[in-house]
Order: sequence, then structure tokens, then C-alpha cells
Amino acid sequence: MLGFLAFVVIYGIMKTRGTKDVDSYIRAGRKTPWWTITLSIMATQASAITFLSTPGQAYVDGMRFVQFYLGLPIAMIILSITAVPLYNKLNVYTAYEYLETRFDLKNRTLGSILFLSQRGLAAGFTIYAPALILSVILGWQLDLTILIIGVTVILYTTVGGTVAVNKTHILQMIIITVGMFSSFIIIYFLLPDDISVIDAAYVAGKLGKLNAIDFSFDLSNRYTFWSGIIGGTFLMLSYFGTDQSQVQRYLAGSSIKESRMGLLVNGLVKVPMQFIILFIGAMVFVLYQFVTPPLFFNPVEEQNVKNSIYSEEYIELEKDYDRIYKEKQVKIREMLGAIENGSEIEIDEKTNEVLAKQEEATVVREKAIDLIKETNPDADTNDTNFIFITYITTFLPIGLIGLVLAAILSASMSSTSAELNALASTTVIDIYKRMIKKDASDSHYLKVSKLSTILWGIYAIVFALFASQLGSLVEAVNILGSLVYGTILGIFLVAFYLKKIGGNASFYAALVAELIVLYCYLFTSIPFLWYNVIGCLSVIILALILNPLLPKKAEV
Amino acid sequence: MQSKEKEIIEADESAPPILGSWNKVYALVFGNLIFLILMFYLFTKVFE
Repeated sequence: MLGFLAFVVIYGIMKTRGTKDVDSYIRAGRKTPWWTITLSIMATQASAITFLSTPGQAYVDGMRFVQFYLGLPIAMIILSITAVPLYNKLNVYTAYEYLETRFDLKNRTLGSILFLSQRGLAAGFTIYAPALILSVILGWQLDLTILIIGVTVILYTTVGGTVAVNKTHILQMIIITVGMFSSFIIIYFLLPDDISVIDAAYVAGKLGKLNAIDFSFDLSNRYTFWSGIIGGTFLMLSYFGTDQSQVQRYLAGSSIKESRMGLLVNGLVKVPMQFIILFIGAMVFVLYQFVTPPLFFNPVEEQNVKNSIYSEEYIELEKDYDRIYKEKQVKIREMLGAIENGSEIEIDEKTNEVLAKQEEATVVREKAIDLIKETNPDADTNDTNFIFITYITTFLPIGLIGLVLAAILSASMSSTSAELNALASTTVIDIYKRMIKKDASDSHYLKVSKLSTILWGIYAIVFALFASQLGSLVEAVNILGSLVYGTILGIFLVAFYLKKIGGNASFYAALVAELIVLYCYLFTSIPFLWYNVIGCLSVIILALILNPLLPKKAEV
Repeated sequence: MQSKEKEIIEADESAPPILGSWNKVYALVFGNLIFLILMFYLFTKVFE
């Protein structure tokens, strides 16, 4: 695994020795073929936490999360038709540069500052979250894990810029794919001899884990077909159309054709890929029907309770849990026998018996979580992120554990490198070159770009190192994202689709929208995910209202 | 600005590497999405 890390750095640096100007550094000289763009887009989106938590989510909640991605192919088509030719022909380096072409400087500055404030902290979180999980499960030192990931990424991103990010993304996606497929195939060898693949699918399905599509229209249900198609399309439009970490991937395309194909192939393969990752989680769930799972998947919290006055009580719960699982295994085999016989009444009866056992196990687990809370009121009682990594370290042979850990580190590095690359580009192109030093040489901007990558990298590492001591800050990062994402999307939607709106209306609408979002955050109890919708709609509506009242041309 | 952007979009006539026209590629991506949704629905129902 360490060999792989070293190889990524050396490969990234070796392949990018020709990076001698700003265009090469930020847009890879606009020479990138579509298949590299596709892999790079996928690697950027696939953070380590995606691979750690997505299978766990299927284990806990079933496969319904796949509906979250249903809007992605639609967003890819819309962006291919509108954003790609505009960005390409206007020859922009960043998405925010387009805002000046379309509106004025103040809109561009607002967009880039909102992006920098949100993505800057997110880069730290992208390093911190997987480092925390790996350190808990593998006993690695958290600070050291953060430093290894952070310094590795800074090294090749600084030296090679976008070319290095794209080249290493190819390597990282290969490792991620091989790692995930290996862990998938191993599950079938681990299932009991009398349980076939179809049996495993029936067990997962009957226990509610293969709920991939739900056509019911229920606003309180986070993942349905409708929320995926409508909400998902808006979210993906925002992420792929306005977030520089993604926009930079397809700005590197050698032509509109290459950039479009990069996005559209992503639209073809992303949904099946998420389906497979979730299916792996559902199969891990089936495996743990025949091997009693840990009562709680986070070993640190479990050890804490076992070292406390609640130790005996917890161990008793573990015994109960094991007994229920052994009884459940008998019931599952009876259910599979009923499915083979084909009697609907018998199938229903046996399925209900299995579900009753599952309910019993859930009650025992809830008691265990209560004990964890009693031991440490600040304990994180959500162990979803630890499920998949526990399966990996418990069941996979040593060589494959290394491969999957390399895949997880790859995912962390691929997202972080794209973020640092985008942060540096926006800082240099939209702030430094536009407002601080307009007429310097190309080599000067190249140096500043590299320095900016290093500084953003250090910033991300420092945030990640302190995140463990500022627990609430992690949630604050997610909230901060929602505080600004809706407004950015609103500005871009107005720019793309409301051609009569001028720069002043857009800018002041965005400022007021941001105040509305802040009001919601400070004075209401609206869940923060809704801030995206509120911010976006506020910009659009306010821009339409303000446009006739304000002069169209900005005086900047 | 408005007409300039329209011109930019309309001026892009470079053909995609497959299927001959971009509209056909968009239809492929959209059709694939519909197909996946149907497959996922069947998958949900068969093993439910």
C-alpha cells in the first residue's frame, strides 16, 4: 500500500515534467481526451468517505440511496448542451470567469469567494474523515495518517497541476475499481455453501435491502424516485456546472467534443457504478446474517463501554445478540426453503418470522447504543461508516486488505487533489491575476499557482489536524456548504437561462438571498439541506424582481 | 451577450465520435437512464 502511495507521487511527477505555463498547469494545455475526463470526473466525485460509507448505508438502509444519482445523467446532458460550449468557446480558466463575461466583475468575485470559503474547509474534511476511520480501525496515528495523505497530494498536485491530477486520477480509478470488485467477489466465497447468489439476493430483498426504486411521492422520505430525479438534477447541475473542482476537469478537454463526451460517459456509467457499490453493501449485510456481526461497528466506542462500569451489561447484550442471530439463521434457511417451494402463504409466514428476529436484534442493539451513550455522552452513535471497513479487515486476505486500503486512500487523494487544484486556480485566476497583479509574466503566475496549491494544501492539513479537537466544526463544514451552494447555483442558473437579467440584479439578488439563508440558519429550525433550495430560488426570484428596477450595466 | 452565447452554442457542429449526432448521444444517455430505472424497479420487485 505504501508502495502504491509512493508510485502515485512518482508517476504524477514523472508524467508532468512538461508543465511550464499557466495553461498547462490549470487546464492541462487543453489536451485531455474524453476518457481521461470521465475518469477524472468520477475520481473527483468519489471521495474516500463515498467508498467507506456507501456500502454501510446499503447495509443499514438498503439500496434506495441509488436514487440520489438519478438526476446525474440529466444534468450531464443539460451541461453538455449549455455550459460546455460556453466555457470552451469563451476560453475560460474557471467557471467564475464566465460570470464576468456574462455579468460583471462583482458577480465573478462573489462566486469565487463563495466557492473558496466552502471548498477550502471541505478540502480539510476530505482528508480528515477517512483518516479518522482508518486510524480507528487500523490503530494508525490520526495525525500521521492526515499528514501522509495531505503531503502526498500536495507533492504531485503542486508539481504537475491539472495534468498530474488527471493522470493520477486514471491510476486511482483503476485501483478503486479493482479494490471494490475484489471485495465484491470475495463475499460469494464467504457465504455458506448452501446459500447461492440468488438466495443471497432473496435474503437481502426480503429484509428490505434491495429497495432500489421507490415511486411513492413522499416529501418526508429523503430518497425516492422523485427526489432523485428533481432534487438530484438540481444538485448535480450545481456540482458539475459551478464547482470549479469539477468544471476544471472538463475545461481541460481538447475540444467541446472531448469535454462533452467526458461528461456524457460519466452520465452513462455513474448510476450503475453506485448501484454496484450499494449492492456490495447489501451483500455484506447478507454475509453478516450468517456470521454474527459486532454489536457496534466502531471498535473504539465498543472498547470504551467494555472498560466502563457497564461492561458486564454490554457483554450480556452481546450474548443475546449472538443467540438471536443464530435463531435468525435457522429462520432464514426456512424462508429460503419456502421460496423454493413457491407457496406464497408459507413465504410470508417465514419472512415475518425472520423480520421478527431482526426486530429483536435491533432492540438489543439499541440497548447497547444506550450504554455507549451512558459511558460517553459525546460518543458518535452512528457506526455506518465503520461497517464496510470492518468487513474488509475481518474477512479479506492480507494482500487484498492492502489493495482495498490503497483504493480508499486513492479516493481520498483523488478528491483532495482536485480540490487543491481548483482552489489554487480560482485564487490565482479570479483573485490574484484579476485584482492584485494584472500584467505579470506567465512564469510568475505559474509560480503563484504552485505556491497557492501548497498554501491551500497546508490549510487543508491544518484544518484536518484540528478537526478532531473541534468536533462541531465538521458539522459546520457541511452547514457552511449548504449556506453558500444554493446561492452559487442561483447565480449560474440566472446566467445560463435568464438572459434578460443584468449583472446588478443578479449580484444584489445573490446578496439578499445569502442574507435570507443566513436568517434561516440563525433564526429558524429549517433543516440545513433545504438552504440549497431556498438560496437558489431566492436568487432567481429576487433577480427577476430587481432586474427592471436596476441599471443593466454594472459600473465596476 | 444573449445572441453571442446563442451563436456559440449553435456554431458547435463537431460530430461526436459515435452515433453521428449529439442528439442521438443525448438520447442514448437518457434512454440508458430509463432502462436502468426499469431494471432497478424490476430488481426491487423480484426480490422484495
